[in-house]
Amino acid sequence: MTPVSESLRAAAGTQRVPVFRARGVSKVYDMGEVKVHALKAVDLDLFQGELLVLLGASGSGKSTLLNILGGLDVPTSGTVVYRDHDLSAADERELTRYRREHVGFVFQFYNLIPSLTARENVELVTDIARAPMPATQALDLVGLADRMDHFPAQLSGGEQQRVAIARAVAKRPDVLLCDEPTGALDLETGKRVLAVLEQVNREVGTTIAIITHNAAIGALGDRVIRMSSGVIVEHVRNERRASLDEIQW
Amino acid sequence: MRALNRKLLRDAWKHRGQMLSIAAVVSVGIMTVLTMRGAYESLSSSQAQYYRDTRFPDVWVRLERAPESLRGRIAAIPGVSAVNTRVTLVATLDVPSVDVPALGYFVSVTDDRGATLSDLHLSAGRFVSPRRRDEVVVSDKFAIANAFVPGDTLRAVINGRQRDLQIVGTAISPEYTYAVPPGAIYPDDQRFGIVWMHRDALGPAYDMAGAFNEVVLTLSPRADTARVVAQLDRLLEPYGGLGAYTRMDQPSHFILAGELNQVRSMGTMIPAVFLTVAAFLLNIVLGRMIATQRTEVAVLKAFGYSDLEVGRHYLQFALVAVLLGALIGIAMGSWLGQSMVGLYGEFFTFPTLRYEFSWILAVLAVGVSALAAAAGALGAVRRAVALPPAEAMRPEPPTSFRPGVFERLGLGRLLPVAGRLILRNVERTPCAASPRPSASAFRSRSWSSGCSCSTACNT
Ligand SMILES: Nc1ncnc2c1ncn2[C@@H]1O[C@H](COP(=O)(O)OP(=O)(O)O)[C@@H](O)[C@H]1O
Ligand SMILES: [Mg+2]
Repeated sequence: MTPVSESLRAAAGTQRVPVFRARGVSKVYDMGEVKVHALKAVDLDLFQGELLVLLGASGSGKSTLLNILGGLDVPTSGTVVYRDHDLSAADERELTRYRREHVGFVFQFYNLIPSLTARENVELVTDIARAPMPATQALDLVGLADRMDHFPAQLSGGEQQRVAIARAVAKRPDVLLCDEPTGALDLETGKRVLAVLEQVNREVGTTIAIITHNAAIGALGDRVIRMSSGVIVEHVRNERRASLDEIQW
Repeated sequence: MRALNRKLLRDAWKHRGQMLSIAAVVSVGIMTVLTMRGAYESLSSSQAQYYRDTRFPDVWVRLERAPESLRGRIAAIPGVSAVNTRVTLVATLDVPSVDVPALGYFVSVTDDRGATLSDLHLSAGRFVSPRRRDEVVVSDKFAIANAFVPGDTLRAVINGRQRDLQIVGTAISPEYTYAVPPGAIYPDDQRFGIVWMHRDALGPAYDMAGAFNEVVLTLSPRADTARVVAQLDRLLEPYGGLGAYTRMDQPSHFILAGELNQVRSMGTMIPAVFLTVAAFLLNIVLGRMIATQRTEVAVLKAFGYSDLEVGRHYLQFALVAVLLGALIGIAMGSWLGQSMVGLYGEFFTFPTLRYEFSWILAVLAVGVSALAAAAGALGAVRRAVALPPAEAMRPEPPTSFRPGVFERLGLGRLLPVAGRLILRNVERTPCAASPRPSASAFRSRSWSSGCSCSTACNT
């Protein structure tokens, strides 16, 4: 506990206002005979424009935390505040609006709509966004300008994930939540995808949280959080973000 | 076009086989509405028009013989609007084309056609002239069946005397829209015809000069039919009255009304059956589609599509099927409706009988189909709407299995692993597992994952 609260205080000391403020967030999945405590009183702040890396073993609660930050799920107890939205008190309609206006998601299995082309998958999101960038621009950003009219089945895994990133950033979200974006990709392709995320963070200034199994990726972030059994067990602030080439894979 | 609509069209195209099947079922429903109900509306409006134009009577009564002077007393019965007296008789006709003599039902007509109830509608030739005693107009179908044309001679035996009659015209009458010989059920146009002859000629020939043996009358709108009938019967009793009857017992009207009723109820029942089937199919097909698209549903929601938008998206599949069905159904229905009305025209004789395509009916049929389809789709769509968006993050949901009754009794060990899997599936969803092929098709997905899981655990 001590290192966590210390670094929290350290983060607060920078005088920056957090985009997210999670306090005492718990999540219990009631499976009837058993109760799964996926999160146990987690405190976390996420700051404007930062790149946060979430590490931890499978089942440690990373996805649950990210889902709650993204308004896909609500905590059993505790509060999550996004700017002036209290997500823990929001109803389904408010959460839908929050997701529509502020959040971009990248999933491990890309989850593109198979019957839509790369461009249309992006448009699916820009269609309902307030001030999106053109789908073509988003695809250009991830280096797929020439594959716009391909269907997901015609793209490699890495390309599909880049389309997914284009889809997530095209709406110019305030925060980009990526759940194991490289989990299904080989090393080289994964690096390519991370490069795109890093570039979006740098160029567009989007706040990004990335879940990964790969501890080496932590060096890319401004901060690294390690979770275990539903609690944050380690909290590291990187003095300097490493570039992709510097990382020892 | 919005990307979601593109997805709708592409997915509909991908499932075109199923969509087409549903559309086909819907189209049969809509087609039957337009055919049957359309035929019904066309027929009944033709009937109403025809009855109005020709002043179709409300009450009929036959009697032995009564003097024409009685007519005034009949007209004086409260509720009676117009009265016609006439002379009718059955006579044998010599028809060259058949060996046995044909039957002719002779009905007297007068010159005052404007006051005639059941006025004739001439299809060829002219009306009988009062000065010529041997002129007749014969029923259209009889003329056609025997190839009679105006100018031909018809030999008849009236009251024991043979007479050669001149056919001057052919006509139809609302009383013989469906013409059956006395005592028969089916028309026999070759051997049964209606022969209209001037009252001045037919009366004397049948010893009915200044007398009549049949009365037809119309009633005023608010007349008490039963009372009129009773008073008429009382009045005519001394004259051998055979009992007055109303339209419901008038043979032609009775048959026509019965047929119309049947067409109408079939035009409701058959579509209802087909629409129920369509709703059921939609429930299955959409349920399946949504089950395979659960991550797509979750993605839509994760990116901020509301439950309403997601629900509407899947409901639109039902509408696509209905729209497709409507196009086919309307085209087929208006075509078949024409054929059906044409077919009725062969049995029932109307002056004008045309299938009239009704937009109101079409819109109604499509509207009801859309409602039925939406109702069928609703269950499946509700499942999509209820799907929590967090599911998108989770690759495959492990269905919750637990030892069932069979296994808790310790009998599970008697079964091989595959047997236990089957058992758990059956126990978990007792209704869905066996009778529905579609459901078990789904289950096979969880089977294969279940199998690989257990093998993974064993190794
Ligand atoms: N929808 C759910 N229903 C039940 N248990 C769940 C659900 N989602 C997650 N869990 C459980 O909560 C714990 C944390 O899961 P998760 O957040 O997905 O972990 P991670 O992403 O770190 O692998 C796990 O034990 C998991 O089984
Ligand atoms: Mg996870």
